[in-house]
Amino acid sequence: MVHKKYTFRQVAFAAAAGTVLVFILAFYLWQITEIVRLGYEAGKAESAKLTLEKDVHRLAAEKASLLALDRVERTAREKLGLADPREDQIVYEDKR
Amino acid sequence: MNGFAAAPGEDSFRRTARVRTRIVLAVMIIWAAAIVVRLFHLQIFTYQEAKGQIEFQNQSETAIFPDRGTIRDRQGTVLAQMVARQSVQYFFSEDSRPEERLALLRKLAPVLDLDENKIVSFRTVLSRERGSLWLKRKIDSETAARVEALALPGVRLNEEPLRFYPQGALAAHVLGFVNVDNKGQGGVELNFNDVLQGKPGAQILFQDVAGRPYRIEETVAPERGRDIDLTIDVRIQYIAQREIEKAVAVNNAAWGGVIVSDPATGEILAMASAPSYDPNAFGKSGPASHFERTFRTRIDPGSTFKIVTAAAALENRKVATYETFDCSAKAIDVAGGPIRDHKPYGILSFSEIIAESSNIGTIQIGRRVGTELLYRTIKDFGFGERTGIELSAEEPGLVHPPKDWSRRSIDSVSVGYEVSVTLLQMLQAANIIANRGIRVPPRIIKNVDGRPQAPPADLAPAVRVISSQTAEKLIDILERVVLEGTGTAAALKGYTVAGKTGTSQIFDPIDKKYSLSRHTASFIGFVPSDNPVLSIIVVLYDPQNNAYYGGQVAAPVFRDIALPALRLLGVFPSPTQTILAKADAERSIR
Repeated sequence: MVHKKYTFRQVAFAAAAGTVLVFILAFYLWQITEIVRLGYEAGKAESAKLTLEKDVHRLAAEKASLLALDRVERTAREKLGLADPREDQIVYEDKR
Repeated sequence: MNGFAAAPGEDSFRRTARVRTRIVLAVMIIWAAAIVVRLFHLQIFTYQEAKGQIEFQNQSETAIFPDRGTIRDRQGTVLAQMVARQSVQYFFSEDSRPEERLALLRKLAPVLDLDENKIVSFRTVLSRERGSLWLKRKIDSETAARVEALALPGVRLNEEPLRFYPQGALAAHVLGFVNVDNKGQGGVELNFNDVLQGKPGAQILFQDVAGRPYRIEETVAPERGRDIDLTIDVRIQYIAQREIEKAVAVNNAAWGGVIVSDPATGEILAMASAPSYDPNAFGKSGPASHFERTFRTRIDPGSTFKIVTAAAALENRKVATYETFDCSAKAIDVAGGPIRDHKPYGILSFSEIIAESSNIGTIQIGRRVGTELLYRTIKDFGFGERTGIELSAEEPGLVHPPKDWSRRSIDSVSVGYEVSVTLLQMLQAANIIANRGIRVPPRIIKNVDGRPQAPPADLAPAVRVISSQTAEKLIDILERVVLEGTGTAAALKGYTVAGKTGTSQIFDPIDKKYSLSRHTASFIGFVPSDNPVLSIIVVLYDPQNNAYYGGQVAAPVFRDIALPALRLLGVFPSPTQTILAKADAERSIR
């Protein structure tokens, strides 16, 4: 069997080409991995955002029910002891 | 011969081996060919069937419920909105037997408050090979956490939107409610269901072999429903509802109804029926609270209807305001029984007849107007037909055509009997007078998705019903009702109030006559009468706490609603108003 002898230049070129190829492949794999990782992170962030939006919505609904007028009046009268003003206690402001 | 030479019989051995190899090879080729043929058959000929089986086994398409639109009052206060709740669903497959499934449900029963009967009712569904069922829908977050903690196989929590009414029972009859699938079942929720509900989406649920879902893929995005702004003012609604509920309780009435509107625009500011219910817990409310009283219930209007008789007389110049009538008769017989005044009045002017609400006097006026003119005026005022308000199942009321009137009908109709009206129709009639003769149809929808809502096609246009002169004369008379007539309890210091009381006997369908002990008390009015910003009708049905006259039980409710509502609207009292109104009223009778 006859082996062909390669010059140093050829070997170096092949090694350089191989290295570049490995880097390209490594970069490609890294990029794919990063895309997937960022995709997961984006998914998590999206999910967290949705959860927070739901929390805001739920809290807004809770706030609305806490501010329901019958509840406010009950609290004002029963807990705070407030009462309707007498006619002589009302001062009408002339905005003209 | 050397060491590599074939031994004797070797040729036969090789031949045998070759033959056997060929046989094995042929078997393998046939086997491979069979597999290829089978795969070809599966992939090409039975592809659709196989795909269907796979989809049946591991995919199921379910609907995604869209969020219903929000309902707000005229100032943006939320009256109905969606909140997320969890629903419990159970997926089961071949890996469990029906008894095991029932046992699993019994573990859940105390958490979900499922009784044995309910569990047993699932038996038929659970006897199937595989499937799913809803165990409980829209549970609170605490219960959901307890279900999750049990970590039972196949039990899954799904998020579902729940309709929530943050103001509780406020405006319940206007809003209506929704069923478990968020479909409108009454009021605005029903009438505007198509607008509010949006469009459902779709999703595919991928399940593993045990029926456990592992992926959800949205195929059609749901479309959120549109928002609706009502003309209701939540503050005035609250006052109206509080006062009518109080009046029903204090007077031991069967029910009460109140409507507050802006007469110039026809916009309804408040509309309440008592008793009411909380739409968040509709199932727990009693059936009596479900009845809507302001536009779906008919009443005999009684004396409030005299404003129509008076309008017909003045508009057609059948009487003059200064003209006098003999009202000393004790009673006049009409269909259903005699009609009396609660005291003999003697000689009264036209204005005094209305101010004192004399039945004897009004009947004489009605006779002078005549059947045709009175009927035409009644129809012009909008009675006997729906007002066109944007709410479902509006009652048109009942006005018989003149051909069906008996000899005594003119007397009955003149004083508000033999006609059935809704509170909304009566308020529309009062608004005609408040608007100086212009009929403006009532409205309750202000905006849809932030844009002004076009009037419905069947909503009548604004039309002149009586002249402004007739309306002005009527207003002077109605002011007098409040200043010194039957409606003094509706007077507001610093404001000119025009109004009319009404007390009608309730017709007993069994005895076929009007009851002497059951009454409908009402008051209808607007304020300030020179430039009305509010018109209000109050009705109490069958008050049983001694007092039953409209002036006694309904007029004070008008006052208690009107005063705070006027303050909220920035219409403040003027010390001169009452004096000026009194002078006007006195001038009207001279």
